[in-house]
Amino acid sequence: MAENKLELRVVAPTMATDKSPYKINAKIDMAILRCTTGDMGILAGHIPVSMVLDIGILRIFDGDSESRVAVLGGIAHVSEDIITVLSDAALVPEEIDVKAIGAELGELLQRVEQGADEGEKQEMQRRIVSCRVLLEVKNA
Amino acid sequence: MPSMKAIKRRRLTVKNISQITKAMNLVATSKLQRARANKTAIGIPVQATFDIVYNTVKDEAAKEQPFVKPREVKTTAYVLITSNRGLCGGYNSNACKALAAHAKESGDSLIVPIGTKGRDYFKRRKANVLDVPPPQETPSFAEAKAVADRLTAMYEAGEVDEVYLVYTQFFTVLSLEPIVRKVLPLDPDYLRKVVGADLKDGEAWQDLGFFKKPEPKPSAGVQDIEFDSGLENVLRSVIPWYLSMFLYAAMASAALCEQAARMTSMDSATKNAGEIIEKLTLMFNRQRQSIITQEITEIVSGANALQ
Repeated sequence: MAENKLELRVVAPTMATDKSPYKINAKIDMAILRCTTGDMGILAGHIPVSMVLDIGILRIFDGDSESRVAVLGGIAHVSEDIITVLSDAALVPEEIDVKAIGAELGELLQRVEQGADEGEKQEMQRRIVSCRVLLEVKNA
Repeated sequence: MPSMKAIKRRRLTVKNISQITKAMNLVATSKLQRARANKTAIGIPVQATFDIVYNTVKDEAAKEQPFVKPREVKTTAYVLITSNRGLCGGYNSNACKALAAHAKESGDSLIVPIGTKGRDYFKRRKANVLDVPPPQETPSFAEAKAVADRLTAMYEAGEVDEVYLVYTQFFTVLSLEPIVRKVLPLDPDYLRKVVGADLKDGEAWQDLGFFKKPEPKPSAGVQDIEFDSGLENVLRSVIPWYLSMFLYAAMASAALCEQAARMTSMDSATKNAGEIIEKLTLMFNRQRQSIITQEITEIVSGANALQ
């Protein structure tokens, strides 16, 4: 377990309310972020770094517990033991509706099989990855 | 002097209008609370975005990057935020006039209207207006992102060389001010003042009206920033975020101002209607009294003539 704690601030503008502007604001030991260049683990005392986030799972470690958040792209910055994650959408397992996501994934896979133009395919592929990440977070 | 019937009819009309303005005032008051909550909610995300953008562009190497390095200005894009509906006093026209005054001093302008009132104002004046779908009453991040992505692409393609944002800043319900702010190319020194970092003696924090004054941030001991996928790639991802958040915050601020302006103008319209009703009532009573007096005079003179 890390000696010093980090502060994790997850900000999703579409989910912010005046009562809770942060999606997550917690003191943690370590976070693993899915960046476009690969996974990056952040511990206290990390050098300042800016990252581009890919669609993936944000793994949060505190003590013996690990929690997971589905982060659907965005940017992150680490400075002075504060990790700020800016994302279009960041969902905790309780917010994920397996039935709806499963149905969406089925429909997307079917549409990809039926064929679509390149631009559409890319967007659908992105959504398929998002759905898989959401299901993985929920089923973990 | 109009007839009693005409006065009565006019009084009824004014009364009906005052009922509408009163209802609109109440609706605007309720919407104002929602708009205020919405604006407060995005304060932290906006501040976090500005912090990240500043930390990214303060690097010396960033000054040579396309979104930071100023270039010769041929076309200036103005993103104008107005409402889709009127009856809100000078809210829309003030923003349009602020843009027109600023655009006079620059070269070719391209108007990117968010809101139909601003779009119609500049279309009537045969300005170069970009076709943007009118936004919903409550600002959405998706709408802001769509416009921001389009602007980023246009800036990258060299179709525009500068981007300004024109919106109304909220100070109090009675104090709303149209503002013209430069958003692209990024000015690291300006961003430093916005996020309140390393403020020198005599330098004031630049209040955009989006978030509260941040705690002073001394730079002593702060290390250089690393970029996991290179400065250029990080900047390419950060810029659309910055533009989207800036636009979203400006839209939230403008939505709040629209409701405040509507509330104030409907309140004064209701007051004015009340004054007109009072005047018309007085006029109606005088007319009625004069008719009664005339009738009495006629009866008395008739009776006198019979004696």
